[in-house]
Amino acid sequence: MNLLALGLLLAYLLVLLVFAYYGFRRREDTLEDFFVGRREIGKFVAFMTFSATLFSSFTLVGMPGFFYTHGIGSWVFIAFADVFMAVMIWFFGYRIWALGKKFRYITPTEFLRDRFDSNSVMIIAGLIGILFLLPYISIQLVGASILLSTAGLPSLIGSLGFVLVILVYSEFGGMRTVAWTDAFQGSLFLLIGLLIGGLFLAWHPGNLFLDVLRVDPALLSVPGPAGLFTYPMMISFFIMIIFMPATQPQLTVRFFLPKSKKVLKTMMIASPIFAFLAMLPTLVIGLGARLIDPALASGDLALPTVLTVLPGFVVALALISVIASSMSTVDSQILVLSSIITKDLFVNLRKKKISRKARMWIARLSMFLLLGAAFLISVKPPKLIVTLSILSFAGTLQLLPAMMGALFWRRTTKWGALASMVVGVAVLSLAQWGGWRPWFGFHGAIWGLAFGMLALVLVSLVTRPPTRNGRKVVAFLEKEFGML
Amino acid sequence: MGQTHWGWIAWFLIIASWTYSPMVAPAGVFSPFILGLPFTLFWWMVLTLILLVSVILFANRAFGDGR
Repeated sequence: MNLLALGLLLAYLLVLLVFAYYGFRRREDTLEDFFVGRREIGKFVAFMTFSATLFSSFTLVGMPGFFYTHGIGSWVFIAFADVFMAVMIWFFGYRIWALGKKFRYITPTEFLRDRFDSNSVMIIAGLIGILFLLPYISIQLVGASILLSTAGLPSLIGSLGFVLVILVYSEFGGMRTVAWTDAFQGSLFLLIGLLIGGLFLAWHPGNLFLDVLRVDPALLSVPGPAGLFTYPMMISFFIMIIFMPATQPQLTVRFFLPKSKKVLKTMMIASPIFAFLAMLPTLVIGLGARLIDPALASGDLALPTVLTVLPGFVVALALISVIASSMSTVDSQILVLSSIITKDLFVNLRKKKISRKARMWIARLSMFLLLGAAFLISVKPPKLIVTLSILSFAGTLQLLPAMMGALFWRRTTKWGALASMVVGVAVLSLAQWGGWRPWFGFHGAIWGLAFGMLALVLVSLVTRPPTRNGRKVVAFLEKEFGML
Repeated sequence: MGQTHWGWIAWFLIIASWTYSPMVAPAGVFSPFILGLPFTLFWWMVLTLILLVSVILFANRAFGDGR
C-alpha cells in the first residue's frame, strides 16, 4: 500500500473514531437512543445518512460497470429512479415519521405489529429483512476485501479490519454515531466521485458522447449492447428502486430520525440532488473507460481503468471513497437488523419485562453476532448467498403490499398482510429457482408484488379487521392523513 | 390528500410514463444535443432534471412551513 493511501486511510479511520468518542459521550442507555438517536437528528445529518445509506460501493464500482457494459439505459435504471424515490419520502416517509413520533416505534416491523395486532406479521417481515439483507452485507464485505487487497492488504485482514471499525463506532455510539459517520462518509464519497468525473472530463480532449457514438452506437441506445435494458426490465427496476424507502428497513428506519417536519422536508429536497450529483461521475467513468479500453474483462474494472489516466493521488482518494460508501451502507444495515432482533424478536415477544441494561446488552451482542456472521459468510460465500444478495431489492419489495395496506387502506387485516408476504416471496422464488419464466419480460419481483397485492386485497376482504392497537393506529392515520 | 396533491401525483406519473415510453425515450440510436459541453445532455437526463425541479417544488408545497 503506498504511503499516501495509507496516510489517508488512517486519517479517515481517526475521524470515525472521533465520531465514536463523541457519540459515546452523548449516549443514553436506552434502545430509543441507540437505534434512532432519540429522534433528534437535524437537517444535514438526516439527509446525508439517508443518502449515504442508499449509495453503497456499488455506486462507484458497479454503476460505471453498468454504463460500460449496457450504456445509457443505466441512467434510467438508477439515476431517474433514485430521484423519483424522493416522492416516496412524502408518501411513506412522512407517515412513518409521524407514527414514530406518536407511538415511539424503533423498528418499521414494530409498526406492522401494532397496526395488525400481530406478532406473526412482525416476525415474518423481520425475517424477510434479515434473509435478504445479511447476504447483501456479506457481499459488500467481499467487495471491500478485494478492494483493500488491490492496495496491498491481505484480503482476510482487510475484511476483518473493515468489520472491526464498523463494530467499534456502531457499538460505542449507536445510531447517532452511525448518522454522523454517514454524513462524513457520504460527503467524501460525493466529492471524490465528482472530482474523478471532473478530472476525467478535463483530461479527455473531445466530447464524451460523440466519441462513444463512434466507438459503439449501441451504448447510446436501449436495450444496450447486451440487450439488458428492455422496457419491461427498466420498468421492473424502476418499481424495485422507488419503493426502497418503504421496503428496505435500513432506509425506512431513517424516517424515525428527523427531529421535525422541516428536517423531513430537507431530506426530500436534498436527497434527490445528492442522487443526481452522485450518478454524474458514474456515467462519465463508465463511458470514459469504454473509450480507454473497450475490451475489459469485466465492467467492474471501469473505475480502475479511468484511474490509470488520472494523477496518482486520485487512486488513493478513490480507495477511501469506495470504502466510505461501503461502510456507510453496511453500518446502517447492521444497526437496523440488530434493532429487529433486539426489539422485535426479544423485547416485543417476551411477556416478562426485560431490564434496560439487559436490552442494551442484547442490542450490542446482536450487532456483534450479525457482523460476525456476515464476516464468516464473506470468507467463502455459498452460491445461494450470492443469489440472495443480488435479490436483496427484489426480496424486500415483497414487504410493500403489507406496508401500503398498513398505511393507506383501513380494511387491511393481519391475514391479508401475511398472505401478501408469503405469496410475494413464493412467486419470486418460483421465478428464481422454480424454472418459471416471468410473463412479458418483467422481473419475477414485479409479479411477486402484483400477486402479493392481490392476496392482500382478497384475503383482507374476507377476514376480520384489526382490533385494539390496530384501531388506535388507524384512527391516528385517518385523523392526520386520511385513509382509503 | 387535497386536489393539488392529486395534480402533483398525476404530473409525476406523466414524467415516469414519458421516461419509460418507447415512443418518447430514444429506442433507436441516440442523438446527442446541446453540443459544446464536455459531455452532452440527453433526453433522460433532461427528464431527470425536470423531475428534480418538480420534487423540490412539490416538497415546498406539500410540507409547507410547519415544524
